[in-house]
Amino acid sequence: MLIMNNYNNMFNDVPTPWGMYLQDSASPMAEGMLEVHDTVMFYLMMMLMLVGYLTYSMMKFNNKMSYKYLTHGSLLEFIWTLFPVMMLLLIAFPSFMLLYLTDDVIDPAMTIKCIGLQWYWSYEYSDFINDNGETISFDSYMMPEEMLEFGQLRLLDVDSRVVVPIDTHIRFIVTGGDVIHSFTVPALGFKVDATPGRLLQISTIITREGRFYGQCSEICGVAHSEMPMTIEAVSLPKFLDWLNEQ
Amino acid sequence: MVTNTATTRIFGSLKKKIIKDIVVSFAIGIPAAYAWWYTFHVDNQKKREAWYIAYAAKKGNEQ
Repeated sequence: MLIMNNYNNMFNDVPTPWGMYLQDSASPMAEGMLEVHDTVMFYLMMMLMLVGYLTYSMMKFNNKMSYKYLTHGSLLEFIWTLFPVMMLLLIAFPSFMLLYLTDDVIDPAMTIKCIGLQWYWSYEYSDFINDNGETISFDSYMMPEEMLEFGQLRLLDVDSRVVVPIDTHIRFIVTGGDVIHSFTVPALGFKVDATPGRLLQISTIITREGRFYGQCSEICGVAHSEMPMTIEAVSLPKFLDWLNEQ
Repeated sequence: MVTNTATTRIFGSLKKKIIKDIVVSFAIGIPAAYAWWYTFHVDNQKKREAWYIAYAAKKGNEQ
């Protein structure tokens, strides 16, 4: 566990070789997911040891048939019903709390529309218009391997990133243009299906600057693995500069 | 009904065994769970909080 800790400091915003834990959180929602994951792991650890030791006890040398004559036991049955129920309740309560918290979208400061298409993402900044009076929108394609620059990540970097400000309540509205895709950014705790004909929304407040990567998570065709999403979180002044350039 | 037998009857050994097994497995499981919580989760959380405090200070300095 201590070794795992050394692998998981901040800036772990991409999948890493031999990474054994979740990516570092960059939003309160992802933070909540880490908390629930660790809480569930607490109970799982207890159950793992319980089942592990009982299995060992039954299988160890000279004790192969240790429970051979145990054919009936009301108290035991009562215990092995009650214990899993308690465990499930302890796991269910924090899970449901998080589920309902993630559903809340209260008064977002800006909205970005994400449209999944075969095989790229199209983004619209619905709150902003350019000099021609048009909504700011662009398509975002994966960077081909031969065009990658130093520091860019294979199968994760895109030609046009979604630039967003930190500490701002942002709403993402997700839909699909052809088949079902899935807008997923693990560091932000997102996974929203992009379903044609349906708008799904999710909101977040990004707590730190950085680039957060994700990949389409719903099999959508031959180039399903080649439509990543990159969100670049910057400070508000930098975001305004970027907007002015559009 | 207890009848006389040639050998001494053995009573309660299964019950003892399962109670022992459950007690031993919880005795291993509860410390293991707390070990996970305090060595991994709390440690990780402290690191994250320390990072965010430093980050807030850095942002404050920049502004």
